[in-house]
Amino acid sequence: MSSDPVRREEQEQKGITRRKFFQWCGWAGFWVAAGASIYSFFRFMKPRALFEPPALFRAGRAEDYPGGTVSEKWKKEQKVWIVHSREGVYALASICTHLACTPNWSEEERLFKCPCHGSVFSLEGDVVAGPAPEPLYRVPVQFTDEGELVVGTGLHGIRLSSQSNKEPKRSSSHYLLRV
Amino acid sequence: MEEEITGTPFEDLPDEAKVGVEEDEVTTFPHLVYKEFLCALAVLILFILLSVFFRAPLEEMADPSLTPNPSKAPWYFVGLQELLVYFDPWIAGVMIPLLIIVGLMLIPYLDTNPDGVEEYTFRKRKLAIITFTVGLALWFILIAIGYYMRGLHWQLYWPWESREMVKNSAEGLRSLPLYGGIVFLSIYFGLGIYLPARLKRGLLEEVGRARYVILMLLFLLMAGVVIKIVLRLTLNVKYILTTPWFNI
Amino acid sequence: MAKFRDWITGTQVWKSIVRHGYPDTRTNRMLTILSNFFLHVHPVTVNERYIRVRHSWCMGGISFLLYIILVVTGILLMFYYRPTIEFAYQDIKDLHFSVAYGDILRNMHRWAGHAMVFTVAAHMAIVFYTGAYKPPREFNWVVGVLLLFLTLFLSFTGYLLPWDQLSYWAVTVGTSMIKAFPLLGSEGPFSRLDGESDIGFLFVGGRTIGQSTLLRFYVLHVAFLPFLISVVMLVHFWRVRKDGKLTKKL
Repeated sequence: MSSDPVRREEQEQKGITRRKFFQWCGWAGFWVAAGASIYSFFRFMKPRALFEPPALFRAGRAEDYPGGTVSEKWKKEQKVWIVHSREGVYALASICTHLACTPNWSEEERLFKCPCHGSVFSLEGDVVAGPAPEPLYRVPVQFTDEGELVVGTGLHGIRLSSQSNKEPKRSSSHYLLRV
Repeated sequence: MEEEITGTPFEDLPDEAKVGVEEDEVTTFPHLVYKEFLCALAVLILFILLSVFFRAPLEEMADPSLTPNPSKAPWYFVGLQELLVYFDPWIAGVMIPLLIIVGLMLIPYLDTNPDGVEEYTFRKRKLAIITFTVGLALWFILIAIGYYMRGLHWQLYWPWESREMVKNSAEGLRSLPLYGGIVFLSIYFGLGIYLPARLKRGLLEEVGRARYVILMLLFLLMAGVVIKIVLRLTLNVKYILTTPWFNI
Repeated sequence: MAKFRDWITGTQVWKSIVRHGYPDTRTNRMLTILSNFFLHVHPVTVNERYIRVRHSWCMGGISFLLYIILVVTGILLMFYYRPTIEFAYQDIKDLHFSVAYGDILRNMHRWAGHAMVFTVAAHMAIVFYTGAYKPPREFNWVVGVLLLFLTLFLSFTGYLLPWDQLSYWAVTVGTSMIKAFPLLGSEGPFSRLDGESDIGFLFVGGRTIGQSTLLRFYVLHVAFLPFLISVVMLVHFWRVRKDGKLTKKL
């Protein structure tokens, strides 16, 4: 038995006393407020508006990308390659799936090679060698009514579509234009 | 008041005032304060000279479309970057650093040996010193490999090889099948935890059950990093355990 | 000369500041420590064995000195550096080539930063090898490991600020690793979060490394982390005293 008189009084009174009830309410309020503060901090750190390039851009006509070529035209601005292979026209994000370095297209080997940790990707974006855990992401491509190519980037499209590099989605009309 | 400020030399103090003063105890001023002052001056001079003669690196302005080849992390993280060759990013970049920090923090609670305080001794705490030194050495060896032996595309170059030569990443890496990985890992951790307790009688009682398991887990994880590196270099093993959610 | 000195030390002003006589007696030496705010982090007496250079190699002290150097040079650099992707790189160039002594200040900030990582790690190793983490000092070792982590994090956030190729790609790789965090990162195992609500986004402040990343790292580097590490350092020093590092024979 505690020698502290308040303590002893509490221990003697079984059940919920008024003191216990208010004590409990006080602490509950404290922890709820503390949790809300932590939540609001994280929410504060996530911006509502981003000042980044738009998530859709017009990339010219399909004829600008002759068969069997990889275009690096948009790599600097939009971080995509536009590839015209036997499959059709598709766009690959020029972001290594390993740690987001920018791979280089090697024309003579016909491979995408990442300088950071040596990942190598095929024309289709599949991992040929190196530590990359996944194929390169494909971003959505579409024709407008006027026959212009519209590519959806902004990493928005890319990160959300991490499924895009897997069959069968990758050969769906959303990611691959048969020309 | 004046009396107190001037004070009496220690030797002249009455004996009862000397009680509690040990033989090798000295006053902090000047013995420690002057050492610190001299040390601070030396360090300041060193850094002023360093800054006058060695310019801090500054490359071209950042260009998101052009990754330098090879691109290296600051030296203290090159060890982690080197591990990225052998492990997926969530292990090399997250789990291993976390385990290192947690493991370091746990050291005083896992080491129950009361000997060897405030002295350099190997004899009294062999196991602790060997483990710590191996870990420390591993960290710096990985840094050295990453810093001096990695060239274009993060490939391994011996010091005598030309850095211009292009090497390709190893192809045809194999992974253990799922059941193989499970068997391998359970044998490794099972035997690793069971055998030492069995072979060295009294060990379990000496350190306590929970402490022993944590200790052995940390040992095995540290050794496991080395084992995976060896498996990759000799047998071309990409993953030991392959599951739909993660690979090890 | 001696007369002049006696006159100075006899004035009311001097006596109001320095509360002890010439430190050639034990009492006055003890009072030197006790009556000085800055020296008071020390105990008044220490064990002669533990203050030998070959015992501690001065690594803890040097780490703290380097931290002071970093704070001073860092504050001075802030007068000329603007954390925007438009100006950051140019301002660093200006520091090197047009600001008087700017070159030396930035060099010193860089080298001291690298050196501090090394000395903190060396301090940890020496504390380990001398068994100085053993009871009753276990918790201070934990605080020390936290300081090592904060030192690394400070150094890493500072790495982005020059906005050159070196910093940009080191931070790209670094933040991608954060994204690989299990559960909390969008690229890690068991991820339930998309790239815009995960822990990596918190650091990057956008979809790619850009203006918001630079600003975030800048604020972390010059305000948030220095404040945090100062508080933890105070705890560390206070516990060195309370756990009896230099006085007690254990």
